[in-house]
Amino acid sequence: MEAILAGIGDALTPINLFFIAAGVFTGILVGAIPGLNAPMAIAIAVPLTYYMSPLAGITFLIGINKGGTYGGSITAILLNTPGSPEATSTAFDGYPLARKGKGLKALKMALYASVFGDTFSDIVLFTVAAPLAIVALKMGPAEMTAVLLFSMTIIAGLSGRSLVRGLIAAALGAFLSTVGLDIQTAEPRLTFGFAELQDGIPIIPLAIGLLALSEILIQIERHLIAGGGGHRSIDIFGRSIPREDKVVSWAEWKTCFRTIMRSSLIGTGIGALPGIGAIVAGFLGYGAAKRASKHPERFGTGELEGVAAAEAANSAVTGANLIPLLALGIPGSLSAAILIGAFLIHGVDPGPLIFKEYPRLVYGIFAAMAVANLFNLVIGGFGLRFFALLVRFPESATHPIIILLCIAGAFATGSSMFSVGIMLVFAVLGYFMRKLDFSFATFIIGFALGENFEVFFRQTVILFMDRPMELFTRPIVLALLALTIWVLWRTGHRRAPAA
Amino acid sequence: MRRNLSIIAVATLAAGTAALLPGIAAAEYPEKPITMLIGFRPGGAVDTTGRLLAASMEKILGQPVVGVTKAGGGGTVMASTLVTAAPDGYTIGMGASAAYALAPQMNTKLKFKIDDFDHIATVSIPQDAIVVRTESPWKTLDQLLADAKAKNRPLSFASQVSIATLMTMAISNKSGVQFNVIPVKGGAVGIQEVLGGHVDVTWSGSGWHKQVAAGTMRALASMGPKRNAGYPDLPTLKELGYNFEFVDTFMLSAPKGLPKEVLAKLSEAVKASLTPEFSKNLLSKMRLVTDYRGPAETTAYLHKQHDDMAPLVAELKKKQKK
Repeated sequence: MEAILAGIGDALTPINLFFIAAGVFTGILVGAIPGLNAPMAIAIAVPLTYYMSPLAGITFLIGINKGGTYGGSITAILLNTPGSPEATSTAFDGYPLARKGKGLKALKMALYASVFGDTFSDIVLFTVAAPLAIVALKMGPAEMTAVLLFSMTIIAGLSGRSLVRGLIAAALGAFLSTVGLDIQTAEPRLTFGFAELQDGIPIIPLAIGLLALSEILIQIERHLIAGGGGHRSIDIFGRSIPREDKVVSWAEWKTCFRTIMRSSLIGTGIGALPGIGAIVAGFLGYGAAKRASKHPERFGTGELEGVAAAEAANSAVTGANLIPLLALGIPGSLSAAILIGAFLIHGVDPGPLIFKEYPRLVYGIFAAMAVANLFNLVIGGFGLRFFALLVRFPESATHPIIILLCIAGAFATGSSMFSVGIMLVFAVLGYFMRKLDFSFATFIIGFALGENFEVFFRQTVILFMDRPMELFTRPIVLALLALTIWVLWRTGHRRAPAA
Repeated sequence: MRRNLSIIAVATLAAGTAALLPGIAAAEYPEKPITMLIGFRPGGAVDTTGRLLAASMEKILGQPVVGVTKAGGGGTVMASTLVTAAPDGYTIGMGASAAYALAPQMNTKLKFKIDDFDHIATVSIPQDAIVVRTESPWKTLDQLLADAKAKNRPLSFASQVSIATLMTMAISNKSGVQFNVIPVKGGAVGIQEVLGGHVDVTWSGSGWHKQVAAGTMRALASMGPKRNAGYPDLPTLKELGYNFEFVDTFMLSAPKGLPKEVLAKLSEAVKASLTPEFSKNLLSKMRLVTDYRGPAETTAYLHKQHDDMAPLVAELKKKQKK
């Protein structure tokens, strides 16, 4: 108890509050800018924290992570170019809302849902981290294969008008995820002699090209065809826009609440399991909301619930990601892996003993996380006014800047022109996918899940090679397989009469 | 004749100047920031060693040393990049020995070998160990192997790189126990699989220390040539009679052809950086033992590792062909 109070006291010192705020602000900024993202900013900021106290340093980095998860939604909603890959699903309904002049409403909903999801996930971390980590440990390769198999059923919900095209895109994504060293034999696969491809196609340049740059290409083309004038971006602060389009009403908040809760749970669950990630969580939350909705056809056309579903889910990953990190010393994501390094630099070894050895620091971090959520709400609230000005700039000014940032961001991920090349290849691919109505969402899901699915599947095969029937004695595997079959059956059932 | 003489004179002068030039350059080295390519992801042991080293070398050399991440392929992506850089001392690479001594043997498509580099210095060594979870009945490696043999079942072994394939082969050769190597990405995942009871055994460089301290895991053997100073009762594989020792030593390298003076200056800077305080820091934070070795010794060590592993690699390749 004493440690808890001391920790909270530490977090509330002016200098620590300053670093939390600085972290959140940096996070929102890099999150919002296509090309830059939170893991990148954390990696760059780690050396800066050498000179800070452990608490200030670590909370600064966690602040960046938290701000980053909301920041991505800003450009996703306003410009249809997700500032970070996990905001892809936020753009599905966010951008149509912005086109209808309800951009401010969508931004606010995204902020509230994001902060809610994040807070929910933090509360789970504060209260049941240790037992939840034990449960997560029970998820071996066989269970994880089943989880990923179940996750793939969301492809059906995100395929757009044609399920076949959605599946083709997903298969292409999964195929490209096999590039790189074979995990078992260490033989390079499909690298064509490029050492840079040994670790696989890097997801950040891929996502920047596919999600952000390809959209800019489309917009430029639209602009050119329209003959210079083109469509003018909407002034979401304009007096002509009624007040109810600028705020989230109590009634709307209430209708979305179930969705936000569901997404928060999904995101927290995904966050506690290493190896899935916030991108997939966003899609899963969105897909589940669409499935549960009474009017799924409205999703994708500017449904506020869609924004809430995606943002709550991808933000809820952040807090839960720290569960395996703090309870077991095992990082659940790239950001968490970089955070481990930061902990170690400050002489703190995250693991089973951290609560015993550094209780004051741990509770300080918890308190700082709660404060960071509050700051996210406040800074995000002010920030959205500032960022919303973006859409008032003519596209002839924003497009070149975004293209430049995309190139710089791709370069920064690999410190080489090779990653820029990868980004450009996927920008062209994304352009044609958009033009030909192939869902790039299912492509990203295939790519993001493919790599881990292969790893877990092959691990399972090696482990159960000599006793395959034992797989059917594992309750978690059975439950997930049953759930997968049920969802597939329902999807088929729903589609059949419509077709 | 006179013309010939003057040509000779000019040529001699030119040659003399050329010979002097590197000397002049070295006297001024470094006159601009140095790029340190880091072969592993941010936050890991190599990255942390590299960044702490860069900060210290910066003060000694009087020029910024900028760390740039070039992660992937167990350090081979960095090595492939470094080998093509100009050998002027302004691009150096922080990596680990397996990328130079082992990877080119395992993967013949890699376009570099040990001697394509001027290895500047050995910086630190991790303290690898073979571990099981505490709930398991096995207290020693021999017990584990005897149990597997009695039950006539293969042991599952979670491993992050090809090195463990070689290690389990060495153990199988002597004990007759078969291993199913479960490929995992990173030692932390291996620890997680063992803690969850999904896999029997794993090995790890630094992550195991805190698990053993917390009483969740038990170490059975040390993989290096010497006993771990923190765990003096832990035997090495060699002592237990298995013909295997490998330590993925962290080292600083440069492309081949570095001017002698530059190489000397860089290795001196590393040596001067590894103060007792630096060592204490690295040991307590990353469980790494600092171990300075100069250019000649480092290169010789890589060749020794290469030759030690060569028979096992040949055996593995034979098996894979079948």
